[in-house]
Amino acid sequence: MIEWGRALQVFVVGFSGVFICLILLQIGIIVFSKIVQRVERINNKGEG
Amino acid sequence: MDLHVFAKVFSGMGFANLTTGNIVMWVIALTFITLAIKKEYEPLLLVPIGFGMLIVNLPLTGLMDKDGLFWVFYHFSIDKWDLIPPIIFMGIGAMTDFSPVIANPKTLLLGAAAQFGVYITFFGALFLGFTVNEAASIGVIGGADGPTTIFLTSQLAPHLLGANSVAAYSYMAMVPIIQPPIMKLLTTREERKIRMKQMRKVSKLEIIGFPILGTIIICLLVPDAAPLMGMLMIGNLFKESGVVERLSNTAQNELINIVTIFLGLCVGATMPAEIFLKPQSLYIFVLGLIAFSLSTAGGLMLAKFMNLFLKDKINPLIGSAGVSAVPMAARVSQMVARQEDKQNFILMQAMGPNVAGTIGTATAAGLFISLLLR
Repeated sequence: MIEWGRALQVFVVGFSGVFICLILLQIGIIVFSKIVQRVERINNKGEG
Repeated sequence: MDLHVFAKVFSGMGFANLTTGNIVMWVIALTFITLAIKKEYEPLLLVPIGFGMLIVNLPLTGLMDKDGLFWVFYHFSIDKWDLIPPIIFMGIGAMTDFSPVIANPKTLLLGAAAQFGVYITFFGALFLGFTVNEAASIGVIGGADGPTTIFLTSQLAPHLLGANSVAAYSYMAMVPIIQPPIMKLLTTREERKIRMKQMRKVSKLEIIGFPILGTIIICLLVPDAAPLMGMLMIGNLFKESGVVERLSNTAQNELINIVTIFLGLCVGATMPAEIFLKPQSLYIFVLGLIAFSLSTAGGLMLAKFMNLFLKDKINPLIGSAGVSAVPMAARVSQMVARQEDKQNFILMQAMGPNVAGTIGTATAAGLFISLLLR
C-alpha cells in the first residue's frame, strides 16, 4: 500500500528544502563576497 | 573404480550450475565492457562494473558469499561504512573549480531546479509499486551523480544498488545524446543565442572561503548531507589553499582511482542474475531516464522563468547543466549554444549550475536520509 501522506511530505519538504538550502548558501556567498571585496578595497587603499 | 568421484567433481564445477540467467548477464556485462572500450562510454566505471558483473555470474566462485573477496570489498566499503562515495566526492572536490558559482551565485538556483526530476520520479516509482525508500533511491538517479546515487541507495535500498548505479552512470555517459533534444524542444532559437556577460574575477580569499562557508551552511541545515558535502569541500580546500598540493594531487589522482576500482567491482558484483534480471530493473532504467530528462527540463524552465525578472538575461541552456554530470553537461550547453551562434561561449557560465548541481544532489540525498531514516 502506498504511503501517500509520507510521500507527499517527502516531496514537499525535500524539494523545497533543496531550494531553501541553496538560497541560503547563495545569500551566504553574496554576503561573504561583499565583505571580502570591501576588506580588499580597504587594504588596497591603505597600501596606495 | 568409483565413478561417483567424477560426478562429484563435475557437480562442483561452474558448468554444472550455470543458468540461463548467468549467460544473459554475461552478454550484458560484455556489452558494457565493449561500450566502455570501443565507444569510451564512462570507461573508468563500466570496465570494472562490467567485469564485476561477469565474474559474479560465474557459479560457485563464492566471491559474494560471506567473507568472499568481493563480499569483503562491498561489505566494508559500501554496505557497512559507506566509505566509497564520500571519498570519491573528495576527489571530485579536488578537481572542481567553484569560481563560476562564486561569481554568479544565482546559478545555485539552477542546481536546485535540476532536482525536479528527482522528486517527480520519486512519485512515478511509487506508482509502479516501489516502496518509499526504493522510490527515493531511484529518483536520485535524476541528479546524474553516481556517488550520490550509490551513497543513498546503499542506505535506503541496497538491493537496488546494481541497477541504480548502472542506470546513473549510463545516463551520465549519454548526456550528449539525451540532453540536446530536450534543450531544443524547451527553448527558442532566440533564447539559445543569448550572450552572457563575462564573469567577474573572483578573489583568492573568496575561492578559499567558499568550501568552508559551504560546509558550514549546508551541514548546519542538513546534517545528513555532511559525509558528501564535507568531503566535497575538504577536497576543494586542498586544491584552493595552494599549500597542500600533495594532498590535492593524491585526492584527485591515486586515491580516486583506487576507490573507483573498488566501486566498479563492488557495483558489478551486486548484480548476479537472480537479483538483476527482474522487471524491477527495467522499470529502474526507464524511471532513471525520466528522472534525468525531467531534471534537465527543470533547470531549463527555471532559467527561462528567471529571465522574466532579470535585466541581464541568462542563456537558458545553462539551466540544463544543473544536473551534476560535471563537466559534460556544461560542455553540452556550450555545444548547443554554438550550433546557433559560433561566437557564443557559455562554457564557464554553464559550469556554475553544473557544479551547483553536485551540491544540490548531495543536499537532496541528505534530505531523503533525514526524512526516511531518522
